[in-house]
Amino acid sequence: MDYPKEPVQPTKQTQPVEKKSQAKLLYAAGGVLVFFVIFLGGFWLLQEKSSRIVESEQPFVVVLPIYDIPPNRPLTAGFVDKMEDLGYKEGVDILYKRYGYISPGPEGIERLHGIYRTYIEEGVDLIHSLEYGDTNVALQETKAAGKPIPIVAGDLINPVDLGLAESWQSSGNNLTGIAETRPEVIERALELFTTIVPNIRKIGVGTQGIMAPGEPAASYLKTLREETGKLGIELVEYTTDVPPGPGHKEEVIRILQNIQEGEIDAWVHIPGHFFANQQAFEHQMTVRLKIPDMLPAIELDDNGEVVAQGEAVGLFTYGPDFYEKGQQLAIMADKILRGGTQPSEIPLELPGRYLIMVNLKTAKAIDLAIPSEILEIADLIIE
Amino acid sequence: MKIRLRGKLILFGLIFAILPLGVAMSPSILRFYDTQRQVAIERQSQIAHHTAQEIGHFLSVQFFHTQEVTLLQSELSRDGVLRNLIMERLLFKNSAFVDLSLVDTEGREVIRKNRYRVIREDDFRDLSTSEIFQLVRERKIYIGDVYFEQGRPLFVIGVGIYDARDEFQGAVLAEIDARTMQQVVSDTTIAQEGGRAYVINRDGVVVAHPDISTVLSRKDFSLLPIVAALKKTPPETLTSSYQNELSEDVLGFWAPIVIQIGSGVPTPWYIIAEENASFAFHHVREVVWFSLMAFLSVGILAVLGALFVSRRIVMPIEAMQRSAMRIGAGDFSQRIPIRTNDEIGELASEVNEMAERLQEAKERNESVSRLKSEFLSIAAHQLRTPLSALKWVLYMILDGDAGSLKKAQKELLGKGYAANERMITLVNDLLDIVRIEEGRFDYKFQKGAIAKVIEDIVKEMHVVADKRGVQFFFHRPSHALPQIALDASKLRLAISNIVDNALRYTKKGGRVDIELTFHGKEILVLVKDTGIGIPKAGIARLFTKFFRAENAVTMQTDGSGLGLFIAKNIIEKHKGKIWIESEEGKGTTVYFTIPVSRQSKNG
Repeated sequence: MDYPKEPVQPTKQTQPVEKKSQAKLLYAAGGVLVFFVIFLGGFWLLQEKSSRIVESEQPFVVVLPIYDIPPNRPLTAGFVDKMEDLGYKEGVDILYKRYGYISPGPEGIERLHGIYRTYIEEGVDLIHSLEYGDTNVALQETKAAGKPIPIVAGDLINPVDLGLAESWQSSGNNLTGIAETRPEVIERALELFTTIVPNIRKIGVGTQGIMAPGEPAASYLKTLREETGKLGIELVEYTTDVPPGPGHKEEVIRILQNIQEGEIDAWVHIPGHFFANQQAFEHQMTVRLKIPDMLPAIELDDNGEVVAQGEAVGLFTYGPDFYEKGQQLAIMADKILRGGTQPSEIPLELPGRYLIMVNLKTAKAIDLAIPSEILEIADLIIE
Repeated sequence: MKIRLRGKLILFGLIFAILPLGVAMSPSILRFYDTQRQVAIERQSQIAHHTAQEIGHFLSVQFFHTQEVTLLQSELSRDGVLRNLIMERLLFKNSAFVDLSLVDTEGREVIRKNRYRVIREDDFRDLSTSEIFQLVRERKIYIGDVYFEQGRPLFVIGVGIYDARDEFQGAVLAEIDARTMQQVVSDTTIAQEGGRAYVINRDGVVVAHPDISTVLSRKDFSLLPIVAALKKTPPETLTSSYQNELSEDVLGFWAPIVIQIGSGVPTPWYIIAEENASFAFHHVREVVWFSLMAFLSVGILAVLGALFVSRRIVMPIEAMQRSAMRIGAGDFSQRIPIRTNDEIGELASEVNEMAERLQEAKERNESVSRLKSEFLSIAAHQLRTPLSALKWVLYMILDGDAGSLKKAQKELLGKGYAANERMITLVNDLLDIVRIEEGRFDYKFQKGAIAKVIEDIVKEMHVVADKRGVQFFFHRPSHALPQIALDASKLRLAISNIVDNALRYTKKGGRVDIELTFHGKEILVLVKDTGIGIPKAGIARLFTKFFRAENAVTMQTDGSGLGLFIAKNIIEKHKGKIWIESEEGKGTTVYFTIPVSRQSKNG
């Protein structure tokens, strides 16, 4: 409007306007306050409660070591038991992939590639491997799939030298686990073994065709050859040209059965073999010949042919406790699964302890008296 | 800002309920917080000292085991085979030992055993120039810092061997797996809910930790405030809360690890005990939550209390306010329905009595007004008949019907005629006012052009303007205006009154302009004159009956003071508005608007 506006007339009385009551507004404000109190109280209770609630989302899927699969294997048993202690109830919080035992030979390695590839495609949360062979396959397959699924290995030997890890502090990849510098320990074990049986001149071992190729057998055999040479002990190597597969086990058993009294004074089991209970058949042979045998770690009989199923075989062992190693691995797995820690941030660990195991049952079976100085320092005496 | 009484009551309730509660509780909460903090620090202090003692005890035990070698030193020196067996046994019977060696008085190793390696004579070391040998020769015990060997944290301890004559016979060195200390800190951590304990060296590097990965990855905690505190000279024992390496707020306390041998042997390590601040203060948090809930509960009670009180006090006041508003609006029959036996009831009663008196006064006023109107109506009617008769008589005489008149007679009769005309006009105006006030001013609205009405008025009034020597202009719009609902005769009366005033109070040579403009929803008419203007004090009363401004009376022009009152009533009946701008001595402008949207109907 471009004309002067009507001025306010001073004489005009401003009419009183009736104000609406504010009661509704105030009741609404009171309601909001009550709601606020209930909300805060609920939030508090929820917060208190949620701190006690264990996360129960989708269960983690973990692949158990395929080279360690028969029942009651100490590494896997230690792992599973400790995981349960840490709150991973099988079937609820965690699902284990148990494939079954595969022979470690070249054919087995090929199968292993396919198995891990399938698991990786299915989407697993963690791979628990055993030694160099299966760990290397798992590393290759996770790398090829572009999925750095964490791998925890239970029994690595010289992982830095073998290129599995950049250093002991950090693998630099998706691997961590328990590792050893075994050659030194083999030498020490041999020293203790010869203390038990001072007159050993010839030690028998199953090598070409009997032990699995590659690690850990290769480095073990190499060290054994060097150390027996230093001690003036002859290493008698039993071999076969029968390839792993049908008839191989029978061939190994036949070789063991054909070893005659006097051929060897003792037997050393080399880790890494083609069938699950090879050490039991070797032990059967040593009992037959009444000669001592040494194993790199506590090995259990899986078929009960010589001793009760699940019992330790062999006369003497100086090596890590695989059950404890399984427990160590479970702590690492927990850091990865629930803690979200990258495997490269978890340094490789040595086994917690090495056990001197003397089996008096075997000693009795082979009519051998164990020197008291060995019994005094033994961590485990099987009677 | 206007705050209603109910709002004020609620605010009052909230302030006087929460404020004292806050004043009373805040110091208690702060004191409780301080107490909890002191308790947490004290707890960490105890844990740190206890764990330091445990580690010190563990180290003392290791020294005790090395002293077993000292006790067997005479046997060890005699027989090589026996020496070998004893050393082997001592090594394996102590799970913490990795390496154990016996050193002769010259500092050369005479026997050495390692848990994992075969030690041959080639491996024996000459330690004669080493720090450890120099120290143990001086009857001191040695403990070295942690070092790593292929993923294994190790440290060395050493102790001298003295015979009965206190002569130095050699030394025993033991290399210990530092992971064995992890058990001690892990046990402490498990026992300490919401906290942990760990060992660092002087550089801040972790030596023992519940998480072995922290040790093996050689984590450096030197940047943590607590490590900086212990490295100060003298060290600061008290630390405030800080963020640890996991960015958690913690309360920490440190203590040096001392080996409990003799008067105590310092080590290069310190124990740090930490507790999560969230755990340490969880009782404080609960109290704060409780207080907050109490505050809110009290707040709600205060609001509810205020609402209750407001029902008792404010609602009657609001009822009185509503009644007073209606009374103020003219509804004197309104009464406040409050019968409380208190001050509010008394106030309501007084307001009701006041309304009663106003009602009576209103009725009296209406009666007087009615009587006045009746009087005016009767008087006007009674006056108009003789005045009309007189008018015709005078007209006929002036017209010569009664014979020719002398000039002087004619002038006198002419003045009489004019005075009679003014009387008739006044009587007509009075009758109009009576009709307006009684609502009998019959309006007959029809579609019409306001411009035509104004044109007719201009034609009629031009004669008057010319006679008074006033320039008179009508500025019509260039385009046609929309027709509006109007009562032409009434509107003509209103505009005539306005224009008549403008001409009446404009001196000779002055000017009167009428402008007609269209503004979308309404038509604006302004009548502007260069007349005597209106004093400011009079503008407010211009539209009241019989009002004439002082300068208008002084000018001695005749007028009833009813014209603008009638004009205002007619324009407002047309839903229009009227207002005036004026400056004394310069002129007056009367504005009025008539809306174009009003439907034609009788009003």
